Amino acid sequence: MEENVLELYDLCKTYKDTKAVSHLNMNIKKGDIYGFIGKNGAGKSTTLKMITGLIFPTSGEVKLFGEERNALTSRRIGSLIETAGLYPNLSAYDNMELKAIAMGIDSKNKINELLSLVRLDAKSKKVVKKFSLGMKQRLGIALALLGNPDLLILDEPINGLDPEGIREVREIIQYLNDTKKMTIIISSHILGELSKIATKYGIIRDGHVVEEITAKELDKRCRNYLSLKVNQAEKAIPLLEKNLNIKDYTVHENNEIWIYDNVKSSDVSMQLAQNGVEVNQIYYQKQDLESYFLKKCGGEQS
Amino acid sequence: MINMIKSDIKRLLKSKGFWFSLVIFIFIYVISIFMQTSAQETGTFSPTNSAPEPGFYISIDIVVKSLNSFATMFGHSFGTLILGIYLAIFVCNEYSSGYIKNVVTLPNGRLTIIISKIVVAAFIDFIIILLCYGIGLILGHILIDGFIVESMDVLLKSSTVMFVMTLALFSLIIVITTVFRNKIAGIILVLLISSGMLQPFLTSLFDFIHLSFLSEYTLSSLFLNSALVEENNIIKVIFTSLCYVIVYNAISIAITQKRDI
Repeated sequence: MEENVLELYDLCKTYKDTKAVSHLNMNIKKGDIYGFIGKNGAGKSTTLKMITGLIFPTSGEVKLFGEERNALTSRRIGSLIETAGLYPNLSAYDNMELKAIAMGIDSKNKINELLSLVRLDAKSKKVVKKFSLGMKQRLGIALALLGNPDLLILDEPINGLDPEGIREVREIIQYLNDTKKMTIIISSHILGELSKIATKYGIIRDGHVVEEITAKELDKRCRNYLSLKVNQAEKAIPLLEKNLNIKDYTVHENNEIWIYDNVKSSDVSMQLAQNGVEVNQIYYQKQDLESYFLKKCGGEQS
Repeated sequence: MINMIKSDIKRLLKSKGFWFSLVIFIFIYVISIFMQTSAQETGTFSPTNSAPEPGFYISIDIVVKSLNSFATMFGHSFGTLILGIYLAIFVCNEYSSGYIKNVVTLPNGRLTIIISKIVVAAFIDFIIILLCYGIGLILGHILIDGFIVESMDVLLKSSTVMFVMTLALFSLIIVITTVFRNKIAGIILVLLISSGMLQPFLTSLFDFIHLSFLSEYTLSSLFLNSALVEENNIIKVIFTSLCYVIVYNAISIAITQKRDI
């Protein structure tokens, strides 16, 4: 059975009269790369902060690795929330060393290994305030990886990065998931990038999750299809299967049929008309990932 | 907890600001002692082992002749002021840099970040005392004619009083900087208290509410009279300072435990 790494039940966070997060439920399994998507102010960062323990929920429950939060579960989480928290006048190695000492990790090799993973020079004396944004974010990831966490939480890790920086962060995430089977939650606005690595998505809108969907389901939903509304779906289907050889289709409410096979709309309407099936509506639906998310996130009128 | 303390001590020792503050403190302390030397060489002054009035001293109208007087009148007040300002910056940096997010999520992180700051404050406090007596002893012997070194008993009592008083002020700096997440608040406070500038206001306030006797227990009053603590008042000063240490740090811990980061 797949282990639940994170479960959120009815999680709420209220600031005075504002509900930042409202009755949010979420379930993340071991090995998932969970893309957490939502507009600015939807409640992504607040949710991630509640998971890491930076802020306290007003109500609801956070379960980590099947348990209430405790000292052991806290040690199994690594996080990079918003910007990387770094001392600007210290080098990358010094920043890493301070956190390593605080965690009781007495291994220079571990620090060197993590800095090399994120492609930073452990021997460099360059102070962090002279780093580029990409370098800071990579160092933030290295800090989050101290202590070999089982769950890595990254809040907007590619925000403000150039394409090269985005690719580097993506490769690190993919590597950690592939080699260490690390479960990763990553929130981002850059949907195209997220879709390259995420295995599951959670879409948050106005403080609650409007949809949780696997990458496979999403691919299916984002395929092009021919949508037709008929008066008798049960009569139309055998006709289309037999005469137009369609195999990949779904039937929805109100006699609506979605045909994913490559067929001409003129052939479909002619075939059905000739056999006495009335076609009320027919059109091609083209939906890419971005428009799907925007619709769900409330960026576009659905 | 020990690990977090080790980490904060390491950060302190890596901080250029800390070493810079120490240099500034040593410089001012040495200047104060040198001014005593020039005073004794250029005129006729009556020697003294106690301050005639409370406050900061870079004084040439009296010649201080004893180690304990150097430490209490010059070293302690300047050390507390300069290193207090640094402590406010040290505590605030954890918030302003966002580094707190890395450590507060560790097991018992919310408790240990405050305890480690208290230990750092005590460490800085100990260094101030060490430098006060160390530099005073060396330069006093070299520069001051008829230099007096008090008995170990007197020195221990004085250093204990200075240690707990400074720790109380540092605890207040920690709580103020933690509450406001702002170094300026801590810096203003250390200036007001260690200079004694807050005391007239507090005295008036206590007079107004008919609790005048309380004004002598304020931290500001303790600092204002730090060079004048008499033998029979030592226990009272130590006890009052320890109460402040406990109360301020309890507030810091309570706030950090409950607050969203």
